[in-house]
Amino acid sequence: MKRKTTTRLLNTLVWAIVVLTLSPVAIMVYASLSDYNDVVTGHLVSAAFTPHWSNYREMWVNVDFLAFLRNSLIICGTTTVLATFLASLAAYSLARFKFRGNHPFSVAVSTTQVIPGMLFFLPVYMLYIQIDDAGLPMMNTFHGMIFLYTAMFTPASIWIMRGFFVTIPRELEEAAIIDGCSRLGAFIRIVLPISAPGIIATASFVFLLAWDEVFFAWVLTSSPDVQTVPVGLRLYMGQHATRYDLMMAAAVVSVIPVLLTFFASQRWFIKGLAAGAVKG
Amino acid sequence: MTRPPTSPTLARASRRGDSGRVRAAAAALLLAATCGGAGAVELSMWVMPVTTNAQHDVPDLIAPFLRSHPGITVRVTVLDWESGWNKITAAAASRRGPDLLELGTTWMPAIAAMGGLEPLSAAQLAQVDNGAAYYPQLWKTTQVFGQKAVYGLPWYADVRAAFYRTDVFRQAGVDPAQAFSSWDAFHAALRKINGQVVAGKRVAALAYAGKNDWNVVHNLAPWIWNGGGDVLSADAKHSALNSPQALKAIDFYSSLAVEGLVPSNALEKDSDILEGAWVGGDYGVIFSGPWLMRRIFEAPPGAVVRGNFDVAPYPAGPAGHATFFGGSNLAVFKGSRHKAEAWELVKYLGGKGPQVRLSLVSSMMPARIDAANDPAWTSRHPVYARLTAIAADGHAYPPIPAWGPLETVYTKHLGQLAELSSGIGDKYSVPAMKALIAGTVSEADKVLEEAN
Amino acid sequence: MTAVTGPGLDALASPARETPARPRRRRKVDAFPYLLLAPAALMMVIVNLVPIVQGFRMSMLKLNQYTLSQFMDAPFIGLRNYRGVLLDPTNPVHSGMLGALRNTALYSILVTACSVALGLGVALLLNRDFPGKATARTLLMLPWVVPTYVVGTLWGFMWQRDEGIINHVLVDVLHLMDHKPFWLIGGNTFLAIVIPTVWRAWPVLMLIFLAALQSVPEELYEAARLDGANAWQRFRNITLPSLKPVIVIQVMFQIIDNVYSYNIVAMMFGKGAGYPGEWGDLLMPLLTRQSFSYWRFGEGAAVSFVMMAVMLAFVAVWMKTFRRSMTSEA
Repeated sequence: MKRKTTTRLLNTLVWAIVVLTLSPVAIMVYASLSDYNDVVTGHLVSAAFTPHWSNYREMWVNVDFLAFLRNSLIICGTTTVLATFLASLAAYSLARFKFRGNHPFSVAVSTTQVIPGMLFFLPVYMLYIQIDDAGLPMMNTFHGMIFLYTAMFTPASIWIMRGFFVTIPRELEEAAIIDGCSRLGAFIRIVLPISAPGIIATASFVFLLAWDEVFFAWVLTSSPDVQTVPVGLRLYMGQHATRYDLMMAAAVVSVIPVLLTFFASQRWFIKGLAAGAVKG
Repeated sequence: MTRPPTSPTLARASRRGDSGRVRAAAAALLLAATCGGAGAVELSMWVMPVTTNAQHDVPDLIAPFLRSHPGITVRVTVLDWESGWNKITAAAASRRGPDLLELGTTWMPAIAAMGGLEPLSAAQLAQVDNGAAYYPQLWKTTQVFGQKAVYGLPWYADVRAAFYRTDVFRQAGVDPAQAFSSWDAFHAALRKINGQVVAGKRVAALAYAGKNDWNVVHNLAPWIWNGGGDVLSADAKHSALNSPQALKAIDFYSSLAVEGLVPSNALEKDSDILEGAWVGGDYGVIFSGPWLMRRIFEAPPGAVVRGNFDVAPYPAGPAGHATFFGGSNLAVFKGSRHKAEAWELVKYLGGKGPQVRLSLVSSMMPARIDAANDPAWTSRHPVYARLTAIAADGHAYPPIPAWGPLETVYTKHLGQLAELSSGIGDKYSVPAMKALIAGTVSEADKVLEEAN
Repeated sequence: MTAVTGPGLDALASPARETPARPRRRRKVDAFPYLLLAPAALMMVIVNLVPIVQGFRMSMLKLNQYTLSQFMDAPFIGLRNYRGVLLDPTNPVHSGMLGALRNTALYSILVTACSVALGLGVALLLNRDFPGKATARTLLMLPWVVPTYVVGTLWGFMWQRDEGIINHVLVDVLHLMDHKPFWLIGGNTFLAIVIPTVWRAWPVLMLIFLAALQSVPEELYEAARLDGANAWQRFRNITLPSLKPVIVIQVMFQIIDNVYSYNIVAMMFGKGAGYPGEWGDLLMPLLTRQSFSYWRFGEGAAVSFVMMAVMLAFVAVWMKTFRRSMTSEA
């Protein structure tokens, strides 16, 4: 009996927390359906509310948001694949092998996390300009952004993946090698498949981090055929009148695909985290 | 009196001007000779969100130019006011950027001093009559303070005035003709309209942003000017906020908030929100610019503000009724490889027709005097005509390269002043205000000292 | 940092260690681990190392708007930037820095503590089976998925004194307070930035802790229950120790993240141009506003390096203190 009451109490608590946590998001959705002046003056909780579905039509026109979505998918998707791949290689190396560069490299990975983004700005910008001048276009290109993002998010990925690899028993690979497999083959054919949850977890993190990155997206791109969603959101801010209503609508739209992906993959995601982020 | 360039960068810039003249002439000849023929030139143009859909409106605006110059195409990039700053300065530093760009009037001297803009040659200056067609205050912003070189053409103007609700004034028995004739009259008028209930809504007298806003300095400056003071000394080497006239103006301005004529909840908002609230009927008076008209036009059909508003100049202080004058200029980028064509486009956009057309779409005032007096603009709505009249008294900031950091210092301290006025914590008092301004001035002076 | 010793892959790959002490004999270095590392290392060098080195040099140059086009060739002034920024009260970058430092320290500690506590608490709640578990978990991720840029703007609306919904709920609905305070000006700005940050950060921590909780063997709990331990004792003696490695690492990452926090503060107070206030300003917004925005790169780089040095020291001390916890297997 007591168990049941406790259970019901706890369940209620969970849903209460969900509701509380979601209220700002609900306000965001509400604002996306409001009249533009109402959003700005904060007269959101007014009695005469009619949903402005037109905002969802207008947002695609006012700013070329479809292009931004496409660009974000391309850049963030490719970054995710690349970063996860490179991180897997590096993490495997750190997890399995004892070699002189192991500890220094681990320290280097941690160090990259304490560098303030602003410090990057000018050197990276100048570097890209120099490469541009040397003949390989980097500014305002997909590959320029992908390269930067991959380099930015690989260290964190290495952390997660290494923690994951450490939990996989060595015997599996050793058995494969004794059977004649090369080390690389053992990695690809034995370790990677087992690591699917860890890979998914890492990939999801990288995707989300890249999706939200705004500073470098702004300074290194200059046209709608490369710019990403965070840049697009900023473009709703006009000179003297910000279309907050459209911006909220665009934010809602940009959240949905990510959320759906998470919902579909969450079991794997959590399993991946279970071993990965845990062991550090 | 021109000062010699104070840095190698500036020296190089002025030397480049000479060879630039020759190159421009050669390019013009070449262009004339190959008009319509040879390879097409693609110009890259950076603009700010001058309209709500600048990506679409700006190409529309330059379409006639493209028709008459078949060898030229233009790629328009719309920046935003924050990251636009980073991009433009990075472009100026790296010499890689657009061919022509829009710059705020307070940005231009800085970028020019960095050597990022191509100065106008004598021939080009002659083509635009040395800027005679433009408001002189705005023309000054195309130059660096104390120097002769001109770096671009004024494009559109941001001029501010008092937008007030005629119905609220009427109900309170306030005569608009009198209300703005002096500070005391204005004060009395605000007292009368504060708290009036019109169309079921309680109206607060005045709205201005206190701290979380980009207009903090622009809101205060006209009061200082009208009080007989200035934001900088005449030689632009020192901050002048602590002159007796300026302090008096700041005190008057703050007292409006302390007294509650500016409700304290206005102080935490930004201009976007306040303008929306004024359009929604919450305030009687707001100091704003022509873009507010666009918001009024877009207000819902039954909005009380429609048909019930007008504009007036800033309340006249001891020194007059000057108003804030800002806006944007167009310039050719120093690193451009198509300077001649870029100049042609800049010149086109600096012409009367295109300026009128832009102002009709963007609701910003033209920077050309003849365009601002054009019937297409003035007859669109009586308010526009009044704004043109008010612009005659427009004041722009001295075009110093260090304006940006200076404005940041001012914004921060004026924000702290607003906190005093809002009634939180330490209360507002004249000594407290004076101490705060003294701190402002010493920081500002340091910024200016480093610049000189 | 688990130890990776022992025979196995290494022994198969590289020759035995015991070699005769002949001076010329080169020990064959196994290239494989290095090859695996190479691509990632290369990217990291280009994008991290080069800026660090250049940044360090920048911090010793007089690099401002007047010398920016010279970039690395700007005048060398040694440690003058550091002195100016840290000690000179009239230096524009120094102005407000003490306040921002204080705020940043308090902010990162408070946000980290709340996020971790909330994340752990809710993870414990979710570590059971109940109808709609997957949905609840997904919905709770929403704060993290909303772009940070929008978070600042949204909460800026919510914090308004008279129109904002927070005061409306606190005062009009719940009657928790009798008058509506300011959140966007004055001392409350501190809370105004802490709360949205916690709101956005705790779901990820919750997920990580949830994953960690699920890897704790059920047998341990069973054994404890049989021994008569109650819920609190089980939590204290089994859950917490098992989770200690995770908590330690996540706290470290959280503190680093929060020290460098920028987006939310920038968006909430006038889109980056406004002044957040004495209690609302953090180091990165201050640095951006007063240094990087106006090309005082030399000074900005100097402050960045000091920040980096402090954070590196923090990381080093933290890792040393908790080295045992982090390398222990659960």
